[in-house]
Amino acid sequence: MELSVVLIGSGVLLMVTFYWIVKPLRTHEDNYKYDDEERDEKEAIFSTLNEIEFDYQTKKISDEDYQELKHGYQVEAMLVLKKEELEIDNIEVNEELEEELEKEIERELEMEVQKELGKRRKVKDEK
Amino acid sequence: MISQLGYIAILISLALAIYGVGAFIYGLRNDDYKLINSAKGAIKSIALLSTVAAGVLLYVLITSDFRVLSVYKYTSTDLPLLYKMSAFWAGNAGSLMLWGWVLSLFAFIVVYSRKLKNNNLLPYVGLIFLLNQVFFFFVLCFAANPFELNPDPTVTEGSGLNPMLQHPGMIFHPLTLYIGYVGFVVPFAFAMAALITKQVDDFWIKMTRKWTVFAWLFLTLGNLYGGQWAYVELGWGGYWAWDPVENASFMPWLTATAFLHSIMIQERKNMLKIWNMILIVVTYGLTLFGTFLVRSGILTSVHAFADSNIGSYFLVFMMFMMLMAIYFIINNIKLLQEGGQFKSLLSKESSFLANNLLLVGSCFAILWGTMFPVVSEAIQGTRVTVGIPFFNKVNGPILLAMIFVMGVCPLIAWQKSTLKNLRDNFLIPILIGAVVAAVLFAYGIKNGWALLSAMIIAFVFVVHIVEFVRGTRARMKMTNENVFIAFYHLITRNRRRYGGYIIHIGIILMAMGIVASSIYDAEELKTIKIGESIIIKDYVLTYEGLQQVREGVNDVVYADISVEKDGQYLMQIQPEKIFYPTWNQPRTEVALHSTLSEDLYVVLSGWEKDGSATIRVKVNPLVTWIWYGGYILVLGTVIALWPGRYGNYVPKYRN
Amino acid sequence: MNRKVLIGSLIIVGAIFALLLFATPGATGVEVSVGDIISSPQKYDNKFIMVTGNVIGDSIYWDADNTKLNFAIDNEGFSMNVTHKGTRPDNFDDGVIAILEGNYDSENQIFVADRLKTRCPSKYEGEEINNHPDEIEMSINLQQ
Repeated sequence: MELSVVLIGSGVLLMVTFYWIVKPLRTHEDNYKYDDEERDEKEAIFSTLNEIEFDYQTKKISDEDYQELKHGYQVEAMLVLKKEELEIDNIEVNEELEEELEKEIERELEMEVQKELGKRRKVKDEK
Repeated sequence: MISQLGYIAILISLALAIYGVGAFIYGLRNDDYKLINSAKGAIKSIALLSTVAAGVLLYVLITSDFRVLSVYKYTSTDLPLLYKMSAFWAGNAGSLMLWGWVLSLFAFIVVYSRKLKNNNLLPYVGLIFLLNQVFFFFVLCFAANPFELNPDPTVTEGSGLNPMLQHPGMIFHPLTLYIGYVGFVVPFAFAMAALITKQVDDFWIKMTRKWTVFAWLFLTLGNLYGGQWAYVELGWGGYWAWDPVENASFMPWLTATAFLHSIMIQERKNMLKIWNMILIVVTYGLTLFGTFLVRSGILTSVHAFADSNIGSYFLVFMMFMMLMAIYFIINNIKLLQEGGQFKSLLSKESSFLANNLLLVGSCFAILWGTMFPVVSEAIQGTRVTVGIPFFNKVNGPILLAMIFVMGVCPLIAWQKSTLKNLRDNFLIPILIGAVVAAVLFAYGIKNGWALLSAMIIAFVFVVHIVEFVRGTRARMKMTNENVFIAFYHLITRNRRRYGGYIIHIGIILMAMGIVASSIYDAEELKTIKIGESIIIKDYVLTYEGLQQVREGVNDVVYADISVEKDGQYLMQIQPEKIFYPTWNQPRTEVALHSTLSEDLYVVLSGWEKDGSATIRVKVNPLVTWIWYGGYILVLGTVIALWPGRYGNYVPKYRN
Repeated sequence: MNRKVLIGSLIIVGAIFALLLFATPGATGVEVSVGDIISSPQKYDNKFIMVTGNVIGDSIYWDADNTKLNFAIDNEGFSMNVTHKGTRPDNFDDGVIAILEGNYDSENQIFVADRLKTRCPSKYEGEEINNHPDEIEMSINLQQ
């Protein structure tokens, strides 16, 4: 009795494993390609801004550092938003462009970025 | 017979593992996805086969099939069912079977996960898994066969399980420990894959983050259960003796904790890439090393112990994997050196670095103490012993310093903080710590280490509570939520950070328990006649007599002792010695009365013909804090691991 | 790397090494064979050493009133008397391997064992270490 269990069991196992190994060798996939992993820059930058804000509110960084860090990352956030808007893959950051951007930032940045941040915080609420 | 099915299963597994390695390598070389998928199929098959093998082993154990040697060696017909099952990992062959099985399951889960489908790291990850499987199934098939036949198949009764192992702790300890060990193969495999494909950014870390925490949780539990078992079972009154076996499972825990923290730095600031690679390789190596230490006999003080081939096989495999890993790291050294730098001494990164150095330093010190006897014997011919005092003297300060860093770190921001902010946030918690120490001093605690530890632990505790308070307040300001919702969202939207803080709180509770029970334990050992008493601290234990009773198939002898505390009757306490029919020596059953403040620990060491008994009593303060701290630690880890929409994006800090 | 961070790291590493060096000599003892002790007992007077041997069943005497365990061990033809203030381990029998740490009192020709560890000999049906965890007995009042 036991012998038959062993034989049948081994037989079944061999067949199943054989199938699992051989089938892929005979399956043709037309468009097999490797996915590009998503490296989501936008979300990362806004996470950073959020965290800087949080660290400031919980008194881990000084006013000075807060302003400096916030400003720096806001420039980056602006760049990322602009990229999205214009759908350009690569923006060459040179001196002039950066200056121009900084001026624009003085005018619009607070509003725009705060809007994005607010969106994220509110979204968390709504759910 | 049926056990043959198990052996056939592991044989086929070995064959498939070898095939899989070949298929992956050949498939990668020639960009042949068919072969790669076939190798994936091999991984799936091995998962099935090893489950069948494990199932067969469990079956023969439960049915007490003594034709199988392991069943004969480790069970008897009268053994409770639960222990017949846990006898699975009582011996070498069974533990390696457990390892092989968990490894195969994890390999399957990882390689077939949705996240990894069509990912170019996958074949390499699968390859690393298969290499491990080749090793383990080779050892299982040829050096430590769990299905080995009993040379005398006619025997009708087994040797029985060592009574010391008939304890719930010995069900959970090996299981959780091995799950922890095998869990670390996952980040290791990904690290190797990242190096081979030259994608050394934080992608591999992101993919394995949850595995790392999961494995760390089980490694922690494994160590905790081990200590708990030793405490309740071995009867000498302690939970940790810096025994090589204990050290073997503690060392990977230390480097794993360091790894867990430093990957956060790499994710945020793209730095410490070489360090992280080294850490995961070392952690993986230590899990193998730990198993090797325990199972090869190399650490026994007596040369007469037979050494099976297992030890040498482990050594060869470890060296192969370590050399391979080192080769890949060196190959990519330029790539790994790119990235962020430490900009400021006063930054979270620096405090994480300090935490890492201390953890790794402690691991090194323990390795030193554990291997010193072996090394000195090899070099000088005399074996030196390293005792408990060494480990305590070295690890005490290191671990205390680490707890201090644990308190400082939350006070500093990433990238940059100012001294002023740190001072402001540091002042009140440290003052509270000092007050706590002063109160304890007034209460009678005079030991310097105890006071210092209390102060630091209180400091860390306050820092973490303040983190929750300040965090809730900040969130309320930023989102206008009310305090309860803000608090709830604070945790659920930042599970890793606040789960982590809860874990820290668990750790400091454990630390407090460890310090108190190490410094302020009291002990009495006396042989007393019936009616006499032992006085210890504010307890009076009066020995009322010796009784014998039958429990199932076992004979139990116990001492009936009445306990008075502060003059009031408290309870009866009955330490036992249990005699098993299949075992020569009895097992000591400790009588334990645990409260939050202390443990009353009573052991019946022996008795004489005239009825007098030798009783050992210990009073261990705050031991329950260790176990409760452990529970909180588990809670924190579960929170940190809980899947969710938020916290999936890690902030990136640029220079 | 930032200078200060480097210096800070070196300080931590240095402190750990210093701890190791400081703690190693005092807390370690040399393993000596029974034969060595018997042949030159004065050499090991007042030295903390470790000895291993097989317990001689007939010699076991448990002094309950004083909680003292007296026995003798032999190893490679030499035998030695031992006393241990503590309890008799559960598995203490003839042939059990005793691992002792303590001092040899050459005057009274007896080894005073502070710490007594026992291990089952491999002849017990080839059991591996795992099935016979060590019994550790430590002399009471052995605080640090």
